[in-house]
Amino acid sequence: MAWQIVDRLKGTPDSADKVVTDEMRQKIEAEFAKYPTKQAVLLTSLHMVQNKYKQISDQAIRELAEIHEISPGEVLDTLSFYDMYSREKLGKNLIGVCVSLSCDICGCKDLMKKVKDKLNIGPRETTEDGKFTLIPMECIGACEMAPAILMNEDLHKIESVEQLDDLIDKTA
Amino acid sequence: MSFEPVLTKNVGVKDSQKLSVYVERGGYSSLPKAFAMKPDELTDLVKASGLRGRGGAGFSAGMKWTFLPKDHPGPIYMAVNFDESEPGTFKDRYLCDHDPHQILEGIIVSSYATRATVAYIFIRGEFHLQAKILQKAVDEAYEAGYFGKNIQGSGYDLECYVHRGAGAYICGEETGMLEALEGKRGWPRIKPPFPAIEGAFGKPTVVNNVETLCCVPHIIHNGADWFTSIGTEKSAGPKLYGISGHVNKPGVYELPLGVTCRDLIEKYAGGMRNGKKCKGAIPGGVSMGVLHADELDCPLDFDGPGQRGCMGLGTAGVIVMDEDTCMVSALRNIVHFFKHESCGQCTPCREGSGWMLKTLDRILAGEGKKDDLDNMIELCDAQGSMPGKTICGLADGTAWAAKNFIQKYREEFEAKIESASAVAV
Ligand SMILES: Cc1cc2nc3c(=O)[nH]c(=O)nc-3n(C[C@H](O)[C@H](O)[C@H](O)COP(=O)(O)O)c2cc1C
Ligand code: SF4
Ligand code: FES
Repeated sequence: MAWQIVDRLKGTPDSADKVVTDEMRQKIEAEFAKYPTKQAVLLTSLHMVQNKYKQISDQAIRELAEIHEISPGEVLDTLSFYDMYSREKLGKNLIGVCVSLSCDICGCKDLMKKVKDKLNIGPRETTEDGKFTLIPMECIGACEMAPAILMNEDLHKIESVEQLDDLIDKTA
Repeated sequence: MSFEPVLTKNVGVKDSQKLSVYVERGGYSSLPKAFAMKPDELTDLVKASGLRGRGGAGFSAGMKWTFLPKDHPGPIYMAVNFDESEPGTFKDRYLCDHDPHQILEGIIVSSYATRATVAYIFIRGEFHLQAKILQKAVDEAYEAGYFGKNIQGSGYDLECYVHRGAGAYICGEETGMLEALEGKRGWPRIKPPFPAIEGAFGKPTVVNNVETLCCVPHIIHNGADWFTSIGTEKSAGPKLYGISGHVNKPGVYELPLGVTCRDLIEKYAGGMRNGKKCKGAIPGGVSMGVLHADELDCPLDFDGPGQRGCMGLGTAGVIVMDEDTCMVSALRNIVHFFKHESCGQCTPCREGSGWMLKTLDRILAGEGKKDDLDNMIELCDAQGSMPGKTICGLADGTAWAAKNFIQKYREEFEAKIESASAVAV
């Protein structure tokens, strides 16, 4: 049960090593005016934390619960549902390879293999230097670019494995 | 009669994302016309135009608006569905990339018609660039007085906010989206109550797709008769078709509803890649099933695909597969998608997709059994929500796709299984 997780979370809302900085907190609080509840801003807050730390830690859950005036269990309940949030630390760069139908029939498996050969990482694995994580993704809404890649925040149409090779080098 | 693009008329125009360019080209001019009408008159106009939802279900937009409670003290919310996650679909992204203000104009007049005072644009989390484009457009529109208090002196107030999702296909289902809007896991709600009665934050909420809303300003400008003169009798208006897969020119094409799948492939998308033959095409997102190569003369309107065993037109995101495509693998891909995206609330959906994936993996690994296909069909029958077995339509998508593939390509599935048993002996 979600509410029983409280005892298992490390960290406290007023710990010395806060993860939600004052600046982040201000941004979050500015969002509250847009909605009738504070919880409605949670996805936005989680994006901020995920972006900055590449993970949602116990400490972050504690602090967000306090800011949004909900229980840590509710924060966990929400975040565990969405693919873009991760409890484990992800790499600095995310290589999102679309594996849905259009991209599959246009060669996305070659792209997965290229990443494996070049960086020695499989699906949802991170390179030892923490620079890259490979994320297989379901349709990223760019099927006309198949096989498509979402490198961090940018969509790319990948026409050859060499192009992917270059893209990774440029991103590193 | 030649067809002039309506929704994509600004594509290719320099700086088409900018408000100044949009206004120069006639943008936002439906507002004074709309504000001169009463909200109910506007709703009647949209009803008369025959505009049907572009998000997948094809429900009459004007009709849906009439389901809102009369004389509600408010607030009423507008929730714009920009989740666009159905494999094969990229039309809303295209509209945002090229013409974000058209979306905003659609939101303003539709919100006015439904008396909504806050509009949330729910955009899928993976659309990073599009969220920025949209936010910039919203900021510009606020500055120019198209949002906020007393819009253009009309006395009408509307706030508009961009809300990013976080990677879950099910948040495209309207009530899953409302949960995500409230900061919760995107679990679809049991209906009724429908969103029009009890939607976001327990208030009446209008849910419409981006493309649906983009049609509204044009209807205000040109009239309902103009709209019904485009397309077919029951499927009025222009439509964005997204086409991808094994064609020479994948992309978005705006055409009157009812173009045939064959014409879309041959005349617009440059024909099949490498001179191959077509083996089949998904008519509108993978939930809809598949059109066999023999069925390509199907008109892609709201009725055509349904008359050929598919679920419907869906999102009109067409995925074309050539003769070399293994249909067992294609179905496996689709089922994998649904297994991954099932929200897990309903047993037939959660477990059914898992079982189906296991069976298909087994068949592909050369260990298929004779009764696998019949078992899968039975599973499909047990899975659909149409008879009321699950909370939302995702399970239907899985079941429909699987049934369609197995029925239309049964020989290929059987051959795969038989070649396996031959090896096993
Ligand atoms: C599993 C599932 C996913 C859906 N995804 C989307 C989507 O990404 N975008 C969308 O506009 N509608 C989607 N829909 C349809 C919505 O529930 C809803 O019908 C639609 O947004 C209504 O808008 P419209 O009437 O303008 O089409 C989905 C439905 C289901 C069952
Ligand atoms: S049908 Fe599937 S996706 Fe829809 S609510 Fe049930 S489990 Fe969730
Ligand atoms: S299938 Fe890959 S982007 Fe749509």
